[in-house]
Amino acid sequence: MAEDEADEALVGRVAGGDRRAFGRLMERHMGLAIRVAQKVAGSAADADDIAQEAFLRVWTRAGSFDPARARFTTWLYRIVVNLAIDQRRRPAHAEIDAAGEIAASDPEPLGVLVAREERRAVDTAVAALPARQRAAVVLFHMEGLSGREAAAAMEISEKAFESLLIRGRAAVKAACRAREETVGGARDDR
Amino acid sequence: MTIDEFRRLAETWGGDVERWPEPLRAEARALARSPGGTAVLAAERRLDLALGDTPVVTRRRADDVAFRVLQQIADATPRGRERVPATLPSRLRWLFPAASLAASVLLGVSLAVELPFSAAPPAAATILAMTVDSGSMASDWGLP
Repeated sequence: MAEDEADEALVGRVAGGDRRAFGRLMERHMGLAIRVAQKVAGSAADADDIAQEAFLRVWTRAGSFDPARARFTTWLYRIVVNLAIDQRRRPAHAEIDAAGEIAASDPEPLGVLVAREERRAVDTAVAALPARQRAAVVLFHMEGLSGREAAAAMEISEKAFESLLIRGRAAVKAACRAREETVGGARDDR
Repeated sequence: MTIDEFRRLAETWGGDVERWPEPLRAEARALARSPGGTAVLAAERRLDLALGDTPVVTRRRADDVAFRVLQQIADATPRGRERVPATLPSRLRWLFPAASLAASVLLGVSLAVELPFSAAPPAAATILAMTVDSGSMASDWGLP
């Protein structure tokens, strides 16, 4: 098996039961599956389970993959996003941990703290978005997919994707603005 | 394209005109160079940066999940039903599951002797065991 064998060719081998080809696909793309699952589901613990289930589906459904219709990564994004959205819809999903914890350490420059605080605010706002808006934001901004690719991964039209993205960004901005006003107001009250 | 249309597009696609849908880019580039356009893009770019923040996934974590997948597949495969190489003469086919099991046992013993103890199973080594069990070559995994 060539080191640089295309993903799509590997999926063909996987359909024939080739575990080495399957291992190579996991080696290349497991990181992608985990990080997308983590951002869309909002939980690191759930992300591992989702990525596991996604690759099990790749193993069992490789025969249905059509390289003429999509790239392997588009197919994988679709599986992961669908699983993560389903997971997110379950009522008892785990607490959002996408924003993470700030570890206690030496004092940092003010600029770094402000930037980190801004990112935490954005993370929190993204985690609060409806699942499909969040998936749109993650695929376009975090994964760097084009609008067309992201729409294909979500199995929606480009127009529908555009609508999800603009609503997602607007909601994040509004949440960050509201947070700034709350923090600013609290400071003024002191 | 008016500046209001430009602003709406920036609010949708962000502060990098090169990531906007291709048919819009030529007109947008011209507006992007204007003072008004520059300010619109700068404001959106700050949000782009924060939205592009990516969680770090370590190699170890990815390997552990990959191992769980392989383990689940192995658990779902009945013993003795591993794929037998087509080139193997039919009178010797019964040997394949036995040889596969023997290879696993040998590998397990040698790993137990050679590798230092750790609480979590070494992902690379366990994946290696799985692949040998399934008839593939260790060299294909590029392990140290």
